[in-house]
Parts: sequence; structure tokens; C-alpha cells
Amino acid sequence: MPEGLAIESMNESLPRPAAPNHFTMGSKLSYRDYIDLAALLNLDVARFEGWPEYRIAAVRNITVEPLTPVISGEVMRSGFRPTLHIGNFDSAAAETLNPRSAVYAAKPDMVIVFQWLELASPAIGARHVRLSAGERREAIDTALVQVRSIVQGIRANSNAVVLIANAPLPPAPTLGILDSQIEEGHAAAVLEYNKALARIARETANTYVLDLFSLIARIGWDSAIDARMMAMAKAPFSQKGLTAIGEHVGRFIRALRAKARKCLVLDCDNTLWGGIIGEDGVAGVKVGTAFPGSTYREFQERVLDLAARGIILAINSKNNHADVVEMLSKHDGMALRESHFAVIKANWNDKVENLKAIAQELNIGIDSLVFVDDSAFEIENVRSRLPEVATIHLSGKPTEHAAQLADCGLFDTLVLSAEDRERTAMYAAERKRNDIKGSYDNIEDYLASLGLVADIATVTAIEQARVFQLMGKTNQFNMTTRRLTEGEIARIAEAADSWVVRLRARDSVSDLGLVGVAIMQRAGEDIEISDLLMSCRALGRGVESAFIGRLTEFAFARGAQTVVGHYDRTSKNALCDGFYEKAGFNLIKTASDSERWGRGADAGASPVPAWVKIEGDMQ
Amino acid sequence: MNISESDLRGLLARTLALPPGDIGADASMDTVDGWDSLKQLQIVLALEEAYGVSFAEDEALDITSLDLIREALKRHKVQVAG
Repeated sequence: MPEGLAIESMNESLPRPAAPNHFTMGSKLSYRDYIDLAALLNLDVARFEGWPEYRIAAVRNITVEPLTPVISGEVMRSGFRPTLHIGNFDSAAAETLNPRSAVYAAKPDMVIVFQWLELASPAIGARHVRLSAGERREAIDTALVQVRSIVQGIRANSNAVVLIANAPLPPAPTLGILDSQIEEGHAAAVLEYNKALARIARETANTYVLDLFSLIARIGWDSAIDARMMAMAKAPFSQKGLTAIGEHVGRFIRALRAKARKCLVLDCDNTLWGGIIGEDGVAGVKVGTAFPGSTYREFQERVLDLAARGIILAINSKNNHADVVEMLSKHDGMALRESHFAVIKANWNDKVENLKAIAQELNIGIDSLVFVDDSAFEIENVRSRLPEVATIHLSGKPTEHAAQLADCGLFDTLVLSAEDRERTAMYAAERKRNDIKGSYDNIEDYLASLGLVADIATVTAIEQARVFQLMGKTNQFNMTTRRLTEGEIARIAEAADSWVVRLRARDSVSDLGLVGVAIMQRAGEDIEISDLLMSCRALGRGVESAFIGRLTEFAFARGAQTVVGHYDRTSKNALCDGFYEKAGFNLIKTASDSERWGRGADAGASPVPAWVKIEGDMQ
Repeated sequence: MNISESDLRGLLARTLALPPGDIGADASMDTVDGWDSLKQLQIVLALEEAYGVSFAEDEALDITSLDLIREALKRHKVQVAG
């Protein structure tokens, strides 16, 4: 991801240059803003030198050209240089089924399928009332066959992520008010189509629904759709519709490619409750069932939703620690309690320093944090001094706060693993483990008491989603920081002489789940470890040594002369320094930030700590 | 509402991803590279949003030159000055 997204100088060729906040997530852009942003691609080429490219192809039966600045802009906001290819009008099936079509020549990272149901199946879209029950069934099935063959065509010919647009509800069902009263109505046919389309997406690798149905439901048909443009140019969307679709596509790009945010850091006064606890007291602040306290309670519920998705919670508040703890433990209006928070920084320090301390204590990158505050001063302080931290500036209208959090899109993921759901409990277990630590004389005794088990095995199909997720968000203990797609992981796992290995760790206190990944492949007489990464919460107990020990043992058993480990330095992975050296590897070659380390067969496997038990099968 | 000629030309230029110098006073679909019927849709959407107007069907497709755009804006009470 390129650094320095903020624009320092204004380009003279642009009378209205894209303002710095066009690149900042969290600011809502107009259609004109996106046009300004997309124009930079041609007018300020130098700015994008070195940016990684992200290629999107669209196949369609509508005019999607007005979407191009919006989608380009969202790709740019995600840190990539966009390349867009738009397929021929109404040729989606022909183009996707032909391996030599221009769509695949464009080598897309993402293909978006815009098949407007009203045009793909005029029978359902426009003439529903005139269909018999049998014809209705047939029309839905025909539309779905078309979508399925497009999706399967893409899947057979490309590894691109696929987004398929579903259908909005008909604004004026052909049965009038009767439509909602009968089972086989017009709207019901559209819902049935959408449900089956979602199933196609679920059952196809790397394929997701672009949810036009929900987007248009939210802003409303009349404001999302431009009937005039639809009639004249088969271009259905208004400026509002276009920007909403673009934002939605952007959320997919960021969920797929950007580093995931892991921790939500919350201010307290006028964020978690109304009023100032230091002045109003526990009894005086507002939170609970009655308005306006209900709005803060609602905000807390959305925070708990994020915790259930595996987001770590922390507090960063200018307050007396005891006051905040009293609120969390005593106030009946609160949904959030002390046990939900991994770190509580309630003090009179600079909030920037508190954020740094929170990242350090949790062993996560500063760019994993999202900071929420109602104070413009505090938000600006963080934005200017810690630009890596994403910020949400609450509007000060508490009725809007919950929606601001729910809409921020900063925590979007496309998988939700069992580990995510358990994370709050895991951090609680970590606190308990730290309590045990106090009572042992030395660290080895302590580690031996934990009953650590490293379960190391080649990955199963079911585990691949978690492997993809871990590869996408692990920055600190990640030897090469390659971000592979699910498709790429599956291919490596299936290929001969290459192995995707996962590590599960557990101890007597808790199961940490799938916390490590390694990818190995044969390279002549050697076996190379191209990727090796572990979640930070599993580090420091010898599990990482057990992992490399088992990997080397396996490689030598498979006849490797040397096991070669790669290490590519980034600004984030200093934690990996010395790892291969400690595992008894010798430096073979070093080139700028890239190193190769080797351990010969004569040296045998790297040593495994006595306190870690190894389980699992590798094949 | 009053808007400036340079603001209008700037918007047109950026929609076409061209330097503003490429949009002369007599710019039109016939004289400017890249101004085609698909870009026309973007131009109409951008103008409408930027200046708070809504063009009629026949206007939207017909305003294919700076002159015609100025006239159409004028009909919608947007004066282009300077």
C-alpha cells in the first residue's frame, strides 16, 4: 500500500484539485468528486508511480460507463491504480464463456457481472402479470441459467474475484397492490431470483453478491434510478445510485486486499454515554433505555456486534481510570462491561500516546486501529500525527452515531471464522494466563505448565478460508507478506510437491485456533519455505520454534538437501528478524531487503522446545 | 445561480480526463477527443449534480458542445459568467 495518500501540493493544471480528503476513507464523495479523483489518473500520472495495479472488468447488459469514475475512485481510495475494462454491450455470456475474449485478455483481478433482470428477463421484469405459473417458473430458471453460466465461465477461465449484481425490487409491480397479497407475485419472483443468485455465489469459489437490492432499498428506487437515462441509454443509475454502488465495490476491494482493521478504540464521554462523567457523575450521565441515553446504548450494541465479529475493543479516554471502571461495572444502562475491553487507557495522557501504547500491549500494528471520538480536536490530533490510524469522527448528533459506526466499512470481511467469534473470550483467557505467569519462578516452568500443543498439518479445504484470512491480515510475524487469494491457496494446496501447512495451537487454558500458515514447495533438490506467518497472540511460547522444527523435519523426510527460508523485510515485520538464525539456518544470500536462509540435511530438523507437544499429519 | 466559465470548463475537462487547456470556448463533441455519446452521459450527470439542475430528455443528449451547455444551463437559471 503506497504511503502518503494525502495531497501536499495542488497541481496547477487542475483548477479544482481533488481535496486531500477524497483519499481519506470515511468522507462521503459526490459523483463530481469521483470525476475529479479519476481525472488525476490522466492528469497527474507521476502521483501513481509505484502504486500496485488493480484491474476490474465488467460484463453487462446495461450501460455501466457512468460508473467508471466512481469505481476508479474507489480503487484509488483503496491504494491501487485502477485499470477498467468494460465488456461489449449485452455480451456477458458470450464473453465469459470464450477463454480468448477481451475480458480475460484484460487479466482482471475482479469481474463484476451487471445483468439487469428487467432486460435479461423482460418476462419477469416487465410482463410478470401476463405469465402463467409455469411460464413464471421457466422465466426465473432461464434468468438463473444465464447467471450460472456466466459465473462458471469466469470461474473456468480466470482466478478473478467475481461480484454478481442481484436485482432490486420492482418499483411498480405489475399486479399493483395485489402483488403483496399473493404467493406468486412479481416482487416474490425477484426475491426468489435473488435467493438463488446468492446460492450460486456461495457455491462458487471467490464469488460474491453485489447487493443492489439492499443498496437501492436504502436510498430508494426513485433516488437511485434515473428513469430518463434508463430509457435513453439503458443507463439505470442516478448520481446517488452510482456513488452507492461504487462505495459498495470499494468495500469489497478493501475487504479482499487491504489490511484488516483489528481493534476499535473508543472515547468515553459523549461517545459511550451522553455527558461528562467527571462533571455529571455516574448517576448524571445518559445511557440506557430512555432517550437520549438510548442512542448511546444503541451505539454500544453496534460495538458489541463488532466484538462478535472478532474486533478487539479498547478505551482511550481523558478521565480518571476509577470513574470509567465504575461506569463499566456499576451503571445498569451500559451494554459494554469491563470484560469486553482488552485494554483500558483512561488517564490524562495525550490520546496519540495512548493509541501507541494500546497497539503495543495488544501486539498489533498501529494501522490495525480504528479510533472513535466526538471531539474534532482529538480526531484531528490523531489524523495529523498517526495517519495510519483510521478515525471516525462522531457527528455530535447521537441519533446518528450508531449508523456512523455500522456504515464505516472499516471492519468488512468476507469470511467470519470460529476464531473471530471467540476472540473476546480468548483475550479474557490471555489475561488469566498472565495471572498464572506471576506464580512461576522461570518462564520455562510456566510454559511447561501450560500444556502447549502445536497441531501441524497440511490444510484441508474447509480451513482454506481461515488461511486466506490470516494471510491477509498478518503483518508483524510474516516472513514474506504475500497476500494470496483463496483460489491461489487452493491451487498450491492441490499441486504436487507444494504444501500449504497450517498450525493450530492450544493449551490447558484455551484453544487459540488456527494461528499459523506456511507454504513450501520443492525447488530442485531443495524445499523452499516461501511463506511463513503466525498470529502475534500465539508468539513467545515456543510454538513458532515447534512450527519450523516440524517443517524442517518434514522437508528432510521428503528428501530435501537444504530447507530454504525466505525473509523479505517490510516496514512492519521486524519481529521476524533473527527467526531463521535462531532456528539454526545460515544466511545464503542477501539482496537489499530480501534474504534467503538455509539449513542443510546434515544438520537435521530445527530443535523443538521440550514444552511443546507436536500433533497432526502432513502429506 | 452564477457559475464561472473556468469552473464549467474545468468540470468538462476533468470528466473527459483532459487538461483544462484542451477545452476551448468552442469545444464540442466534434472537436474534442474522447467526448463521445458515453462520455456525454457522464457530462450530463456531472453538470446536473454540480449545478443542481435536471435536464429534460431531449436536452441531455443534445447538449454536445460548450455553447449548447451554456444555453441549456441558462434555461435552468444557471448563468455562466466570465
